[in-house]
Amino acid sequence: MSQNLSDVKDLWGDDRYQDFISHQAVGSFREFIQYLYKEMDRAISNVEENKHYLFRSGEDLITAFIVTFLKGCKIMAEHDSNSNGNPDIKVEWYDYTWLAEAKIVNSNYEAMEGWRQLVNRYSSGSPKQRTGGVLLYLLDGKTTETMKSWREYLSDAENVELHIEECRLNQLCFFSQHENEVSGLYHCIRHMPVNLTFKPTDKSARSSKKHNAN
Amino acid sequence: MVTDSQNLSKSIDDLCGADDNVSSACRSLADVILAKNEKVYISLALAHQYLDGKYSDETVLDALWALTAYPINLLKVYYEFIDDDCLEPLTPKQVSEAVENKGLPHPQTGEMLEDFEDYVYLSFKSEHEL
Repeated sequence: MSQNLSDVKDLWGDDRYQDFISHQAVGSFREFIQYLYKEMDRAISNVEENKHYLFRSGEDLITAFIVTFLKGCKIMAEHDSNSNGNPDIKVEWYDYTWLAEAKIVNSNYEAMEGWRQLVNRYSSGSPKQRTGGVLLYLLDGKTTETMKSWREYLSDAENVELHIEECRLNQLCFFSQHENEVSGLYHCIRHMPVNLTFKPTDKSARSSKKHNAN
Repeated sequence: MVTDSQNLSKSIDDLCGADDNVSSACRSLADVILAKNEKVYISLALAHQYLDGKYSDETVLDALWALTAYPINLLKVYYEFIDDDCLEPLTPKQVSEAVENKGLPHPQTGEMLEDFEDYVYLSFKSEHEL
């Protein structure tokens, strides 16, 4: 018996079916990156849907959750692997490497540290290591406001000439491009917010707060 | 393509690690493929036979998917459009575009088919003669 696509769709459901179809069509690094970013956005949505479990769990557990999701999409992702130190996420596709640094962000300074670690320490900026990501874990505040503030802070950073671009896939994200200090090649970083703010105000949350205070 | 058993096993763990059943099905299928000295075509039904019917459709499909992924690369997906008058291979890009656009032009008549998913069949073939 052969399997037609309708059978596969029924078996897996829409999301997984589409992941499989998109993954099979990847034929270049550019297409791989598009697939990665689509899945990264789904992983982030998944984290945000589970923020009541994750908002107090710390950077590592949240990142591990994202990495596990990516592996499920058949992406070769690792958490805390080696690359001139330990970037939070390392993704490999043939000779290409995509690195990401994740930070719980209470201020732009922390996000800047993450970006600097990524571009100046972990990534070589070589031709096959010129893309990456910064994951900003927000525990408070509106995503749009935080990202606007971070984008302005990054643009005004001293000694770095940056070019900022909108992300067409997800309006909450943006791209920064700068010249890598070592290779002199352009380095493209996707900035991705993960909002874990969890402040329920319903009756059950109020009584739980009261109970905890007592 | 990873063929040495240690690296293959690690890659399978990396891509299926969260699900022991998928890892185990994937390992068994990889053994069958590597043991054959010829190009292999595998449908879901044949994969079930190789695995003695021990796993669900979902698990076997997931294992086959992992075998197409970097760095394992043991299999490639193979799509065919099949109706009463036509049997045409389709590329993964054609299928991906059809899914995205919710329609596929009939390979012979060019008529746009919204229900193309009923006529596109998938199987897997080994990427190289091993």
